[in-house]
Amino acid sequence: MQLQAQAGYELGFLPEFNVGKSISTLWAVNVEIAPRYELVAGAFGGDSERDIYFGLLDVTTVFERTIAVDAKLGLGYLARFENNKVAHRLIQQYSFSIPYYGYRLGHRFRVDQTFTPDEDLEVRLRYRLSSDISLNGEFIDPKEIYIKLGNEYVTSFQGQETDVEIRLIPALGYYIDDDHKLEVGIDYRIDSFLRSTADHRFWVNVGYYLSL
Amino acid sequence: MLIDLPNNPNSVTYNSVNNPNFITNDLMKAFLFVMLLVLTTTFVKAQEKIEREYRIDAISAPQTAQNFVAAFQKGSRIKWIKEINAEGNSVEAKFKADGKRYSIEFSEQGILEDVEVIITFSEMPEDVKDKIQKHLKEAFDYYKVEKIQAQYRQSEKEILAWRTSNNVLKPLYELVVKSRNSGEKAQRFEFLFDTDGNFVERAKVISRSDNILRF
Repeated sequence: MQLQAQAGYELGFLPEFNVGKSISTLWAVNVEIAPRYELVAGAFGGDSERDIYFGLLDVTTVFERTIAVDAKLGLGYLARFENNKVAHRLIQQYSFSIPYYGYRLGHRFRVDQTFTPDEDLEVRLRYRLSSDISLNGEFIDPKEIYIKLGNEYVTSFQGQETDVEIRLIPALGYYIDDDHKLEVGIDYRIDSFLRSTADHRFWVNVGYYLSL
Repeated sequence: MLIDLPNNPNSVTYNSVNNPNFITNDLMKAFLFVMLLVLTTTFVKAQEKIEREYRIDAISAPQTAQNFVAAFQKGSRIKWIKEINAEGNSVEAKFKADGKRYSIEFSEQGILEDVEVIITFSEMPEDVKDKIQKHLKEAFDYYKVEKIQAQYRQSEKEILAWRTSNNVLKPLYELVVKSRNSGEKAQRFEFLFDTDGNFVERAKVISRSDNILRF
């Protein structure tokens, strides 16, 4: 008899609260609070378990320096509170955006190192392409709804293991003004497909961006 | 710490040491409180007057503007945009023709303000190009021209005559330039040069925040 592993899935809720503040002409700080709630987990075509519980809390702080009109370098730290443990992550990122007629493209290159108690150091290389698209006219104006699309590739190295995760993040946003944006979308992630059956994760995402 | 509610038959005993969610529940309450506060602030802000631009149907554009665009260009798909500004509202017709992007701006009453067409440096007269480049080299350590528009502010009659014949019509030049000077923050400017390439004015371009693309 041949056993075939079934692809697993998780469904959860991921609210994000992001606050940005300029601290000088060239420097800004960005803080994000992102708890995760897991709702359902199971295997496609198999059993599933419905159990709503708080999974973890991420608090990320990134200091950014403007290095060109549309480009910034960032250095950050993330604290992850999960199961009475705290994981620490160092973040380095380079990002830039390019405006086009009716939309912008944002490129983000990120490297991070995660230190979790009783686990090997995890190093990840990430690239994310995202776009905010105006639904009416050349620019997204105050009180307009917009579309945001994101696609991220994450390669991770931990001990002897290597994995690739792909994320697709479509969202609908409401541009209240330049300092306040609200987004609702899906954060879909697939990983483990290189060495075994893929794991699929779907996060219902509600994000709020505030600039002070 | 133990919390026990003995009078309640459904009481549950929480232990902050063994229950990983205990501390985080308090954090979550704080998080929800902050979110509520922010959404309230947002509602108040959303009441403020705003400036914006949005698509309108051709039929909503002033008749004189429609007539001018029809005389200027036939057969193109026209996008009509209404702009609401503190300085006054305007209506813009945008379209592509002969491989070029045109933008014709009118007042809200349909009076022609200007016709703009995107061009490249190579389409400029040599002496004008040299003068503009010299000005930019002197102003910045580094610069990159992102967009050039030839801007025609002549009368409707002159512009239509130029469009339908080989008349020469000298435009102004509007440039969007990305620039950097050592020790200063890199900035984007919109420049205006006259028909001979002499500097007229420049204004800093304020870009929308792109934090949603970085985080």
